[in-house]
Amino acid sequence: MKSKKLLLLSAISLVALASCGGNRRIDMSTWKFSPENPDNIKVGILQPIEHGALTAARLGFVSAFEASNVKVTIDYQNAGSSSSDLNTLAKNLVANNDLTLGIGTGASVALQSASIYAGKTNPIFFTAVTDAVDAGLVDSDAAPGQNITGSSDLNPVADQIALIKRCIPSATKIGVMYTQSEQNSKVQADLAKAKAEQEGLAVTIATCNDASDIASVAQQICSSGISALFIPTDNNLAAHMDSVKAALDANHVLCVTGETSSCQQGGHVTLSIDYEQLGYKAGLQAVQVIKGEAKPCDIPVFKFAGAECELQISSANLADAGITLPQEVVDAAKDISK
Amino acid sequence: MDFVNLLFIILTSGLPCSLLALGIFITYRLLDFADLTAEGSFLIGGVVCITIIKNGGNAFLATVIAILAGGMCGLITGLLHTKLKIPKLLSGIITMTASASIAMLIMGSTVETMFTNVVTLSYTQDTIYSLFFVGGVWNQVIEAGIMLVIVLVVLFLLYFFFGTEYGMAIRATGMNPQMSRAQGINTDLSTIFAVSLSNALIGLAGAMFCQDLRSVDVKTASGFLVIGLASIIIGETIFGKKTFKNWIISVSLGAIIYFVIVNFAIRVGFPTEMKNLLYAVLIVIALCMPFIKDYFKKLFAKKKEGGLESVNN
Repeated sequence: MKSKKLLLLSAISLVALASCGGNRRIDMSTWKFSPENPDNIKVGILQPIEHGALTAARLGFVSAFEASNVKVTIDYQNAGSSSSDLNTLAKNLVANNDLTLGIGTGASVALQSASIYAGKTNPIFFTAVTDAVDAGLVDSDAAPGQNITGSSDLNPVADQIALIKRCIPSATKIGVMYTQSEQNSKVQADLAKAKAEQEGLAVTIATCNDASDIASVAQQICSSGISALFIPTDNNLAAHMDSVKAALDANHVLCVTGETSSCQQGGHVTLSIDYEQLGYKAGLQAVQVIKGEAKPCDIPVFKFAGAECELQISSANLADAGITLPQEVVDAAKDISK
Repeated sequence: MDFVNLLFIILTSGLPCSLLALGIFITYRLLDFADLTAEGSFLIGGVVCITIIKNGGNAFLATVIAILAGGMCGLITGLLHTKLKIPKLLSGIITMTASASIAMLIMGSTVETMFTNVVTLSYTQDTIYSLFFVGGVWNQVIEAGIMLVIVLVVLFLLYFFFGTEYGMAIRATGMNPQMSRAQGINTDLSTIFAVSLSNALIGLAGAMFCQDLRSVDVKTASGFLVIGLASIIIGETIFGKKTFKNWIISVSLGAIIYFVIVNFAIRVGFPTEMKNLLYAVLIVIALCMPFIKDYFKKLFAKKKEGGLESVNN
């Protein structure tokens, strides 16, 4: 029993010690990019899993160096969806490279952690991160504030809503549907509501809890007299778009989605982000830092505007729902039907 | 310098897995209970810890609650097996499956990524490691130091506990339940206690790992059961299991050796898709070690005999 008391005592003293934790911020005013060999920068890339969009972002990132004539050596690692490997690879990449790129939120946070724990201040870039502020990577999108910046794959919500007006000029009432627990979907739904009301559209918001109530929620909102439904990027809904599709088809409602795969699975129209371009933009930020033109703390997080995105439609799904789009939209769009 | 970096990478990746291996060791080796709860309690430990820190809680408090949450998973498995008579393997699987849903509930609102929902810590939020940071390269020394202290304390407590009467009773339950019952040991109670203890340790391992990664998602724990089992086997084969003290130290060192192998594979530039194959081959080699040792012993013995024969002739 004596040792247990001792343990308790030591735990209490540890907590007392711990309360003197200080500020974790890096002093960016004196920060300078200092590679081992300025003529050949070592670049570490961490990808969490083999995936088309992520690979495209990686290739885009690398091509930015070639386009800017910066000589780099790429150290590319793929964690193969194992978080243990992700952690170990992040530590190795941070230890061995002058700058690193994390693809996706998980890999970017892993690199930032590895860099904090190793006491390093080398620049870190991220791409394909939806909300860098929410993920705790940066202070704000306009001024990241630390040794990390990158490009975000947040879809241009305002432009997606404008797309509704373009497809159905007579629309007066629209719906927005998302999964309650997904914070990013909620952020996008709020953005969508604000934009729609600005455009003079009445908005109904419906939320579902999990996979089981998607069909009933979709049926309810689609039959409430809306002419279009906006679905932001939402993992739960993306996996169960077929349940939404049934309600859309029955009520002839146009569905604008936040990303390509849900559009293909059951939606009708979307403005899609090109991941290769997204990676390329992060690469350009890295080139800026390498050339000493800017510090990562001052480079704003890149986000796509609607005009830079590709307009995509699914003609098969449109036919199922019995909707005809204006000819100018069909002409401008790429058909992504399965 | 590179070697020093590598050393700290191995220590900081390996020490949380030492605890994981010790946790699995209690059920798998001492209790003869193939407990699949491990990945569940590892996940719950990590999720509880990160969620509490994310919401402004103290890292120490978060870690202690993670230990309790891990223990709770073990308690459920233990109760399922002893009171509801569900087979060992199945009760572990049930708890592991349920824990994914519980983890989602605890995480609540999350940052959505392309594949899964993840909870991440901001760089301004302190983990048990960063609470003590002084800045610069000393950070990794401090991190590894804190992990080492935790593992040493756990090793000491385990050694102490399994030397007490009740600890002995648990080991007896694992070896021969019928005989233990005949000796007046409540085997149900000792099974529940040991499984809870094991999963509390795994919960701590999860909390330590996730604080090192500073994020957690529902898929974080997948693959760790294999790492834990491999660590036990590698440790036992290389460092032996002659006494109980020797045995638990071997198991915790096994995890370090595992990460030596992983880091070696990374440094050599082993292709990602082949990495799992490499781990499998190395585990097979570790498992075969006793046979290989025996083979060489016999070979040498024969040579000696042969030598004598030739002299005789």
